[in-house]
Amino acid sequence: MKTCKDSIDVLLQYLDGELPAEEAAALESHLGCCTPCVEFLRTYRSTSNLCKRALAAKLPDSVAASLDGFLRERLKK
Amino acid sequence: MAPKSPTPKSEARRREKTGRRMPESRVIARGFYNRPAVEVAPELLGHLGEQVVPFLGRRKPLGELQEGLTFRPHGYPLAALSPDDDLVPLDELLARAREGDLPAFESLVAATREQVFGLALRMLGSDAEAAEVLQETYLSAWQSLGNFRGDAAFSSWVYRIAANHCLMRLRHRKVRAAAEEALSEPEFTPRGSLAGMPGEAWGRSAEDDALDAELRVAIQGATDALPEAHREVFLLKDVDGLSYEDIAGLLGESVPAIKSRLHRARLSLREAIDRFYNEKGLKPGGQDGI
Repeated sequence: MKTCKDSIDVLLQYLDGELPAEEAAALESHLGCCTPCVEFLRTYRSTSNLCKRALAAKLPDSVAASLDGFLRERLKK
Repeated sequence: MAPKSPTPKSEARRREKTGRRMPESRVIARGFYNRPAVEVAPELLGHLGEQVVPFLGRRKPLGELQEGLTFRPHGYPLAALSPDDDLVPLDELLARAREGDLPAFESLVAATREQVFGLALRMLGSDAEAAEVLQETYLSAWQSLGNFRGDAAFSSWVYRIAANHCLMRLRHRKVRAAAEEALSEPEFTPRGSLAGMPGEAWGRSAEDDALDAELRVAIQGATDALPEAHREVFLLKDVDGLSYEDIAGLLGESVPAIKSRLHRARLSLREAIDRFYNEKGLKPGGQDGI
């Protein structure tokens, strides 16, 4: 029987689909009877997407214009 | 999958507003807010794509079209547009660029520069340095085009070049400006059970809601506070989408070592987000949404 700690240790492999079938079945069995771990899995999975959105950056028009000018000057030589 | 066209009603509304008709043959996917839209016409996969930003009419480069792209509502993604507005296959653009065709190379740059800038800004934390890396990256790409074998996506290749420039700069920094904190991890009882239940079920709907401004700051702070080795891996994998193999190659580490760092970084960031919701007593989708 897996503990919560055992389960959390293999979440990355599980979500990448790289956990061996037997271990995946043991994890799913634990998730079937552990609400905190189900919630943990859900928030673990959401973390990457939330961070990606929070850290999104926009290219300023001035930087884009500088890049265009730089490339035209340097690459035409 | 067959390309989806705008509904007649929405197309009529759009035409009424803009006075222009969207070339339907180029509409290849439509999405709902923050939901993935994966209906990219197979014949257009691998082409450079642009997206018309609703109401502004601006064209935003999307990079190479591939399944799994996410679009904003009514943002019409278009297939690659060359300066003369023709659909140009990516292979042809690359071939032209390799022969020294600057406009072809500029099309490739236009489709990827926003992502490259974002990668550099997140890695280096400085607008000025990110702008420099942007220039260095495309100069390197132009000089190395002959070595690009085309067995990977052009965008992935450019991201690797950009990541390499960023890593070189980071290695030259003697002291990081921000103090690094220890990684946070979940707490367990002596028997290995989770010590507490997440206070707010934020995983349920946080991804669908507008981002809270304070949450954005909290995530930025938590990411900055990660130990450098963990931060690099997390940004390159989860935010910029490089493969484990590419990251391992760039950092000179093994793939298992990269995965281990990524897992610990995710755990630490998950704890920070969990703490944010618990301390603020906020539920996702509260005030100050962005």
